[in-house]
Amino acid sequence: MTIDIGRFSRHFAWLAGVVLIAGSAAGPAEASLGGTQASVETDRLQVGATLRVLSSAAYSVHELQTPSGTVVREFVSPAGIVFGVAWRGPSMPDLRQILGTYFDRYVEAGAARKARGPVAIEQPGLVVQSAGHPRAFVGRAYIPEALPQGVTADAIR
Amino acid sequence: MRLLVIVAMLGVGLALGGCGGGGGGGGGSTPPPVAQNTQPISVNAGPDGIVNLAFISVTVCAPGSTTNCQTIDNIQVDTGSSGLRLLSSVLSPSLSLPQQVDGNGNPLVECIQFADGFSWGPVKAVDMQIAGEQAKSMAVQIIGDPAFPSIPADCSSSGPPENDVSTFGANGLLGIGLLLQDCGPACAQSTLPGFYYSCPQTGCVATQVALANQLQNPVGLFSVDNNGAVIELSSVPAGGAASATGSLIFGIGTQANNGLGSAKVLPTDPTGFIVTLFGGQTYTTSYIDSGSSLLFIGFNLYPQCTAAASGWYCPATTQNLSATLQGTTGSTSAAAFSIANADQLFAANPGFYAFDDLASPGGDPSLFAWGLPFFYGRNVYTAIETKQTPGGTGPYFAF
Repeated sequence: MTIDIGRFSRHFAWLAGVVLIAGSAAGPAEASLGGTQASVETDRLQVGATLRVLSSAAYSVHELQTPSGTVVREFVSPAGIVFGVAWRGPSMPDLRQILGTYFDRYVEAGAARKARGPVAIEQPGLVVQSAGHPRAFVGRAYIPEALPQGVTADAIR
Repeated sequence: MRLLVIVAMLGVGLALGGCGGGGGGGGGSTPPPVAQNTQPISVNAGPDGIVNLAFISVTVCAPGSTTNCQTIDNIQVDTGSSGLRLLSSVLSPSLSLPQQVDGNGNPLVECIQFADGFSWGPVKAVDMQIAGEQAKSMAVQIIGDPAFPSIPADCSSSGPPENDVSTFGANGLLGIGLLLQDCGPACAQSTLPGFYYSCPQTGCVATQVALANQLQNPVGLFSVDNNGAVIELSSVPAGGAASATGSLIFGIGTQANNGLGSAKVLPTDPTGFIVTLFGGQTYTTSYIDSGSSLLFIGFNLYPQCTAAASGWYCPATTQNLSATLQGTTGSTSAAAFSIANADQLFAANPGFYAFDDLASPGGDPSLFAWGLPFFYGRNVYTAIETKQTPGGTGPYFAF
């Protein structure tokens, strides 16, 4: 089964009522992508964002609104693992924070390519895509092997 | 008609090239006295062998001087950003460009974040001359300046560093995009990480910068021809070419050589996005960007390359395609384009650097970025926000 994105989006207005503002102290600096749900809170505190949580049966989306206006969405599986992150807005997000242990792999792969402009990196265990230009960025990263049953990469945006 | 135009432009390019060439050399040379609004473009291997980068030369002078100048070549033309950025290593020390400071007298240093990495360096002032146009006392970013070696973590957190010529792929970047400033009101009204920093001896901290002190779109500062620019690139064969030539023409509808003609105007949203309709899909994150080497389209549309162009699209046979670009007002313009097998192209001609048929997956399923392949054989107009043109007020793209 594939998540119906159109239906999921239409549920946003209703889901927006389920807003959780977590206020606990920062935990250890865990990786976000590939990390546990607790790492979402670490990210939130690190980037000074507000948080709202949108849930479906297959996964939950933790949406962080950063001070610059860039929105970071972290996709958490029912098992509590962050299997994807997506961003959109006027500034690049703190990729070191939200990619966690995957950041160095991304930087190494990004530096090796012979092109300017958007980045599309696909490796076993890691997909990173980054595009846009100053004042308008969009991108995402995910672990293909960690997508919950029935969820496609198209959902991560 | 197009052939005649191209031949005419080539003539201008050759004439300009004769007096405006050189580059990376020492200071003290007299800037070219030409008064046209046209600067020749070359697509070639450049300093780092990256395909599809459009290069020009730019003359920079110490503010107020007409003799302490340097002409620098291999400057990439970018319709996706705003502002002049130069690599520290290609600047003649005798230029002695003045460091810009904040309200407390501390050096102002900028982090510019791109989709593919970041560049860090101080903001200085320069007089820029290009094709007879001038932008005086303009803020310029000097990338990789050894005087500011410590990069804040919230700058370097966006990806790979691009702080020298080889990682930047050019000697500098001329951002002539849709917007007047590189950051704009957001940096004037709040303190955002990853843009401007105040750098006293104790270390750099993010800071607000008034609009007038940010890096400016140089075209917007010209006294004439200041409402936008046109990029005209020659066509290249399906198999690519070692190089390509063209022109960067300043102004839209301001002179006999920059009228819109039959070009369709596509207004953008405030951030520079339009919509592209392709293959039954609506790509809502779309833009035209001379600073991108490829077409970046969606996700999983074609098989991916496995050899030299690993990760890019490699259809078994060349795909001849058509898309419709749509502005925010609903105006549309159709574009034919092709996607070839990049691995085969590179293997057949390893010395080629100009291709109109290279594409890659992009940053999002909604992304359609029209990079330099789109520009070959077209006249592409970029109108600056708030500026009046015969085709309406910017920001818009037209072709």
